[in-house]
Amino acid sequence: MFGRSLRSRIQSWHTFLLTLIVSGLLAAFYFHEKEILLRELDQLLSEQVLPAIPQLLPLPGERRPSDHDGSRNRRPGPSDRIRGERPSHPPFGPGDTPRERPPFGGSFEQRDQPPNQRPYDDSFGPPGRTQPEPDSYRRQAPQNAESANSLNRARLPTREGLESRLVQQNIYIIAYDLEGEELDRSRNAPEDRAKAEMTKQNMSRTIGNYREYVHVDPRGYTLILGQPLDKLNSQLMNLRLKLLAIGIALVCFGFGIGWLLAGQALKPIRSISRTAAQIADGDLSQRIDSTETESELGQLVQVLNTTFSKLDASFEQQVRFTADASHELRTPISVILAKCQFALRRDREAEKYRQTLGECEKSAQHLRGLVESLLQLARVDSGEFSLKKENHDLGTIAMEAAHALDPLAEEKHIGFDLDCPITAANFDKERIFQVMTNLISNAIKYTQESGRIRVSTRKTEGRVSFTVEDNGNGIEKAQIPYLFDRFYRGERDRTNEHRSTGLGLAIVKSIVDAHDGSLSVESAPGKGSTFTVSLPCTS
Amino acid sequence: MRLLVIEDELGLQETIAETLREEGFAVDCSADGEEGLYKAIEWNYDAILLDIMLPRLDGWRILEQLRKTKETPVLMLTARDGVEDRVKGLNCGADDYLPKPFDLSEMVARTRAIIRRNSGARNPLIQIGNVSINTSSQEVTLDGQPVELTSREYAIVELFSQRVGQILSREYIYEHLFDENEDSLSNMLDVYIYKLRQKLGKNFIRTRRGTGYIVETP
Repeated sequence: MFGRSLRSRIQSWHTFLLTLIVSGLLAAFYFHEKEILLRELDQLLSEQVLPAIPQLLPLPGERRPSDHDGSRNRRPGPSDRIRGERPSHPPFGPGDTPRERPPFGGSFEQRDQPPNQRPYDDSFGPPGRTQPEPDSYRRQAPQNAESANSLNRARLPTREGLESRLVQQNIYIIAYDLEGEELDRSRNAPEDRAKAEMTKQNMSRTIGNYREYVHVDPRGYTLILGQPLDKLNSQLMNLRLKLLAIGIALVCFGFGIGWLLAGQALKPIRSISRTAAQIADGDLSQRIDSTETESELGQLVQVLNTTFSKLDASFEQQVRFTADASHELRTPISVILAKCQFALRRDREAEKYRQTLGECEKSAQHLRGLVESLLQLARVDSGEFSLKKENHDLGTIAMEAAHALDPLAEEKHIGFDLDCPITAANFDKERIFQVMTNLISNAIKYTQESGRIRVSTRKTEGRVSFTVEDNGNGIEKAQIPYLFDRFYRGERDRTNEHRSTGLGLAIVKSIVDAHDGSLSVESAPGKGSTFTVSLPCTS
Repeated sequence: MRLLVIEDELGLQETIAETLREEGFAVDCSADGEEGLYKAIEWNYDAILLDIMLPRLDGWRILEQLRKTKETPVLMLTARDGVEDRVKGLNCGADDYLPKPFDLSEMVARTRAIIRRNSGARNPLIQIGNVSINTSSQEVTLDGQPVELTSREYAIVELFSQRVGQILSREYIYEHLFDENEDSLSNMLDVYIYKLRQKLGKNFIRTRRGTGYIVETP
């Protein structure tokens, strides 16, 4: 069932799309989360810039030996306090002695910069974030520089303190001067870190397995704060595993729901095929349950049910016809058989034998008529291909048929009124002659002595018609729908000693149908009947 | 034994009736359903032969109506031979089913069988004292010697043999002996009884004054 079945095909597409959508969404979520984590890291790194500047970079105005480019160092107010110390200061190391550094930020700002001038680019932090510190320092500054200085000095970490705090946070820091020469580095700064290109502006970047925040001092110094990405990577790996689990769960859940839904949607198809199979097995009374008439399948079900009904009706008709035909054939045979057996039971008088033979002959004649009618019907039923359509005059044939039945009419003193102008059309002459004979002999049969029968032909646009009108018994309205059924006989005819075959009008209908013609009856009991045959006139 | 044949094919009806009359039955006929049902209810027939395809009222409907009041055995005759038709007929209360075309001998045998079954006898051979009656071959013997009986005489013997020990009124005997067309005189029965006493012994049929006749096993 799996593989080529409709359900599995729908299911594969469904699952494919579901997987695509789920993985897309989860991937988007993953990258978004990664971005957030990186930003948090960047934020953390950038927050370390401000405390680090006074500890690692020369104070404004301080010239470093390597700082030859005076034009880049536009800050006025030289100070020899640190400048003199600096060159002799060894790089960071475990054995470093704590140095007295002025409190970062505020102190040099107060001294070296006009209060309204911002020492740093606003863009040093992550975008959108404001750094309150410089403002607060500025605000404090003008009041009492000296007291503020001493206060801040006590609160702010020393270089040692800063370093150990950074090391604790697994953050390394490297300072470069204007030429890109390394000024200072924390003890945990990786040795294998590739020498990155110097930039002219603040930025975050990933170098190898490290995330770095690059701060470019307005004077041209560069401060790099970085952290290995190990922790972030393990966080991301964790996230990936979680997302993978969620994704698999979602797809499985979707698969299950989809399987159920597809089954639900395909239920009518299963019902259709089951019913069709039952019908194929011969149970033609089966119909597909058509509760969902709104859907496309509902329409299909309706069409199929209509087809099944037609099939059932025609099959039933066939069965009834066979039963009726066997009944009709058996009746004269049983008469003949019974008569003969009765005659032979014991010695009879000659008259009795003669009577029996006469009755047997009558039954045999009836049987012959029946067999011929059945054969005619079978021939017509075999289809239009058996028709020998040629151009003939309907009027001539109508007159021939009436003349052929003259002796029968004369027996009952019935007269014909013939109104048959030339009406040429394309039809099978022999068959249409049969139609006319059947209709006219019927009219004779159901018309009283000295009645009249009018036979006429007409040609109207695209059609030719042939009418037999009598002033006989007429037909009750209730009987008209059954008149052309095979073996249907009116009550009067059933008790008639000269039984008809019950096939005459059925043959008429079959022949007319084979010509794509139409047949109509008008009748009033006691006044007479009018049968009209209309054929398409193609010539 | 009096039978009713309901059959619309006149040629066949006539032959069936004639055959059964030759077999010693009194036979009434009907060619239409309504009339047939009327007769079947009006008279106490010993059996009914019923066609299915009938004008006005079909055989199944006649059977349904009949079974509301009577238990008369029914043999269905029909040219429809589908199993469904047969089952339907039997379910409606028919006692047997004979598809057309049939042999007359089979029809007679089946008719006798349903009558016998109805009277409770399975054996076609009935022994009453020194008289034995073979209902299938219609032979009667007295002390082992065959006795020549006319068909009417045989019919009377058979009628009594089905009701041994019961007093049968003259009306009952008439009803089962003569069909609707026979203008039977009341002393006709006395003549038949007299002849049967001559042939089968004086005490075979006893007279019960004022009530009727009786045949008893000694």
